[in-house]
Amino acid sequence: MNRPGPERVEEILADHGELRDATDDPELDALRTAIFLEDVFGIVLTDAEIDPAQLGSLEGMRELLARRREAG
Amino acid sequence: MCGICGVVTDGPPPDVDLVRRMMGRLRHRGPDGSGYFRDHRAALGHTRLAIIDTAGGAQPLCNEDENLWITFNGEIFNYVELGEELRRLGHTFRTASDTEVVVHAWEEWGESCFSRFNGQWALALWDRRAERLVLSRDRLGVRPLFFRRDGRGLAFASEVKALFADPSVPRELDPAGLDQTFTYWSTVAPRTIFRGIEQLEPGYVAMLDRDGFRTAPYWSISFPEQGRETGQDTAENAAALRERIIEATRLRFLRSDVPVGAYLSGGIDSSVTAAVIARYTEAPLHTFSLRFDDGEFDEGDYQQKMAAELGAQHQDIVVSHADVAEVFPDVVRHTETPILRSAPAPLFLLSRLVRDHGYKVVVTGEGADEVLAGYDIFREARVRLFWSRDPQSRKRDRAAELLYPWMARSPGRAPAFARSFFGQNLDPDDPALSHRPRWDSTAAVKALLTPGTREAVDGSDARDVTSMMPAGSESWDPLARAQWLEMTTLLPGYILASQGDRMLMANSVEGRFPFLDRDVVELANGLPARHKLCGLDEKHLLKRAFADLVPEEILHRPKQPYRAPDAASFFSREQQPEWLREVTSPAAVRAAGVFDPGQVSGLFAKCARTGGLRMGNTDNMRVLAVLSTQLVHQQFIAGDGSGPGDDAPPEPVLVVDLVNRKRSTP
Repeated sequence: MNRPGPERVEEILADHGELRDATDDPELDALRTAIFLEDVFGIVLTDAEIDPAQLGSLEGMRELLARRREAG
Repeated sequence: MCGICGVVTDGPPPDVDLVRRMMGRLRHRGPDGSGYFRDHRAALGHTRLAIIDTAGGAQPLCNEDENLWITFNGEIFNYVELGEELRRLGHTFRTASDTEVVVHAWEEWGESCFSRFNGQWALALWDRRAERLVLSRDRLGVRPLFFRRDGRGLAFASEVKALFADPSVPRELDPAGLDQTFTYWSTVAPRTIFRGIEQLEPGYVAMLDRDGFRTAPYWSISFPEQGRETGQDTAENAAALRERIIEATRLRFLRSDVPVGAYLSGGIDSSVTAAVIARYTEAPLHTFSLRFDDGEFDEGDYQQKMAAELGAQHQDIVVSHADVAEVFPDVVRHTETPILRSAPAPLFLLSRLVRDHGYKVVVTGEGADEVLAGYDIFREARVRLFWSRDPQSRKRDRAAELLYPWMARSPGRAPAFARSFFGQNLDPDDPALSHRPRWDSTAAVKALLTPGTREAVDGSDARDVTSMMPAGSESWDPLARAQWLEMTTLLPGYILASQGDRMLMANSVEGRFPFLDRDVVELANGLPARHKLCGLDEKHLLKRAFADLVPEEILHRPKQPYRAPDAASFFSREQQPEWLREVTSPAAVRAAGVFDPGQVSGLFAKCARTGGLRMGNTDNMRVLAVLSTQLVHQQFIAGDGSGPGDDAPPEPVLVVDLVNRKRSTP
């Protein structure tokens, strides 16, 4: 299974950022982002990571993906 | 668009009267005239809906030395370019039709000619020298082609009712066909609902000659390995998609010698095709829409907004519950198979509206949901996969709320229940992970079968469709596997047939589908999954590609699947239609032998109590399954499939009869 490399991360996160599907429920929005990240990058998030504080910003998503890359 | 039929035999020459009766039964597919060719081995029949070369394209048609004959239903949209290439190679043309291009293409390239065609077709070629019949069908099954083989030869036709014009053909329901229909919503080619009647698989060519009968694919649905898609850049892919859809739409709008209209549903797909016509052609745009007097199903506001935006001349038809019930027997006469939704009926009325306004051709948005991942089933599958990655996580339960926030009775209001429903039989290694909930809930229809039918169904040789998945599909993205299943089952078996070709051709209207263009499908299948379904955002690239042509309100409206009132159409009135009592009486149900009369009575008593309202999905499917199956039995098993006015071919009739040495021109 091949997944997008680091050079694609910014473009992919930008695509996600353009989606106009945010709700007024941060927990639901975090779930939506988790589905997106798991699908595209082939990772599995823990319940602790499915957190609006982590997934509610571009920076938070970047950090999470970087962490996962470092962990291999 | 037309009707085709024919017979090839080892015995005496084909019976002309039979061929004429077959043509008569295809009158609605081609009311502008008809024709047949016959020699000592074969007969080809044709009923014509004149669209290209209306003056000179009568069929059957032949090559220069009259040894190769064709009967053709459909359009080859790149016929102009192919014709120029064939002329350069020395071929001489007598007409300006796309049909003649097929004849010369076969002469020049043989079996590989079909890969060069960009179109929608079902055709038969008869090579007199080789004594070879060739049948071919387009890639995705836009056009139908049925046949029956016996010890003496083969008969083929656009519709089964034409095969049943031969009284010696047995008419029985096939338990394996019932099993597939009550699982996948339709049979899967080559299977049909009738025992002994086959349909050519989409993307296949069949031959019958001295070496016997054989079929082989010239094309198949395929996807790249996950992550190995050639184009990864979103902007580049959006531009490429836009270019191909514009070209596909232009071809379908401009390559016609009669005016072409457009369907406008209020969703993004038909809005895109109509907007492309308005922006990229000079022709005036006439749009047609379907509305419901039941507000739950109506999309009129969006349709009118889009029509106004386009400056189109716009017509709509408002369909009531009673309208659906009234036309339903006619609808089933054209679907020729049980249907689990009433949704084809309003489309039957819509094509009648088109015809009443003098149009023979419409461009529609059909196919976008399959090709660019618009269906809810793809979103549900993504949520199911999300759950399967951490089955113990309770935090993930709420993902169901992302699926249907617009539904009044959203499963998301009870997350644990929703997860248990959408998460049932959840096996991440199941190649049909996406479709298992639909198939399992549809199979509840089978609980109504008689013990005898149930036994026959259980013992039938219906193949599980997952066993047909191509080698290597396990390396595709899960979305691609779901698309393959959808494009193999529901698209050809129901969407393009019962809701598509049959409802359009019932009123002599040809549908053209830019999203099913060869080049659009090739590009779409090669896209990364995230460009089609981006997280849970369906048809992501399409929205991006046409953001300037489609109003924001339509571009980003929640997906509303096309539906029509089901049980409510038949039970919400004080007076039920006469036909309903006739076909669902205990005696009629017993005579058909498919469903248990006691169970049917119980189901219909419930409908009578509720007026068919607030019925669950399973009961709605059961009601439609019973009604349509009983009508199929009445019309095609007890009856012979004939209808009013279909006993003679439409005039004028072109005759080329080499047996009687008779020749006439229309």
